[in-house]
Amino acid sequence: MWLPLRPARLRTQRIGFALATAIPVLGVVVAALEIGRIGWSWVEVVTFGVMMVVSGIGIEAGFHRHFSHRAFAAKPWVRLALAIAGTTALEGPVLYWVANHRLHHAESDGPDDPHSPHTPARGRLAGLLHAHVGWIFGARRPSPGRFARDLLRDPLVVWVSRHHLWWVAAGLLAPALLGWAMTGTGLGAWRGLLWGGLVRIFVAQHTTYLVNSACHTVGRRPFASGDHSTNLRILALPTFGGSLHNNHHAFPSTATNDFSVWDLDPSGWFIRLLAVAGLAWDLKRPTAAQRKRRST
Amino acid sequence: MNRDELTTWFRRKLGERIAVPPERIDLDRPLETIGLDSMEAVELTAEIEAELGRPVDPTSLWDYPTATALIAALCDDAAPGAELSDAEVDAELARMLAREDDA
Ligand SMILES: [Zn+2]
Ligand SMILES: [Zn+2]
Repeated sequence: MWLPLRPARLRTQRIGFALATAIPVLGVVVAALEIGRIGWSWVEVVTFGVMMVVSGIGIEAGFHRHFSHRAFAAKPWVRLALAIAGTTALEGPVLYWVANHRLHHAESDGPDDPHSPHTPARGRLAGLLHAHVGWIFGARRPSPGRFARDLLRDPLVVWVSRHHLWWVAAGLLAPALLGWAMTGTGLGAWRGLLWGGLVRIFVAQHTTYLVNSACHTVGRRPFASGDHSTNLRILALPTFGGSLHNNHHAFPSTATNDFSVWDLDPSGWFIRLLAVAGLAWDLKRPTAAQRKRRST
Repeated sequence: MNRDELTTWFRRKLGERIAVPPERIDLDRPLETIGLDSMEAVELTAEIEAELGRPVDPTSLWDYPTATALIAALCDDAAPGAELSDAEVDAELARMLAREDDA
């Protein structure tokens, strides 16, 4: 199930993970100082908004529902676009993300869950911190042969994973270009890079991390899911439907998480749109009877 | 490339990756326990492909119990392919994912 990493490799990875976590934080600080100094413009709003949708849909509809859970099938170019879009969130290559996530489901809130906030050895706060971001620095990895074997055989996924830093770079370059196109100035490009790039990566990373920490700790549990997963509706929009996490743990292969009118599920809306356009099909969803059977 | 050449190449490549002298690489140990992560395995597969000049399935590193077995299969086109067929991998995954839904 778990593979130990060699010390040298672990060291390199930890440095990479530390940079991937710290640089966006630095970006947020610089961005806040700049707003205080020279005020805001539409560049920040537009580049952040556009890129947030790209990486948010890429993570929740792509990495999570399509690649980890096979909740729906899609055309190859749509799969390629989703894999690249998710990679821009700087949460690691899709192969790595999926292996961790499938193990999370297999062992949810048990001792082998990569990121459960409920570990008896840790206190409550330390558990939350571990589930949020600390787990990334752990010394072991889920076996890809066991948890991502289908994706290792998928040349598209392997190619996107191998070049994952290209896509991260593209996710920084695109908003910079957009900022430049909007203003024709270097300052516009810089603010696009800052807001559509670094601030957006920070928000994308930590909304995913909140699903792992908060959505296994506080919120409603409408379904018996055999773990501590919860629905946190307040986070539904920023997580693109990912925070309806108790719905998801009860029915992991569902393509759409909205089981009530109060469940806002942007990824589900997007996947339904793909289906209407003929670009996605075989959308899985539990029947009303299945939902009733599992409700608490 | 014959079996001895490929074995030497393999020792050298694995040795570079895990920073161990080539002669100390144990080719009869399960490849997985050498400690390659998913991205390294994918990179190593790409290197094998480049060396052999033909496509190699990235799951080969997991499909064969040891490096010795993998090398034997790579050298002998008549050798059986990967341990699991695509259909078997799909079935295994479907079982893993379905178990959660029924839980
Ligand atoms: Zn979860
Ligand atoms: Zn999931």
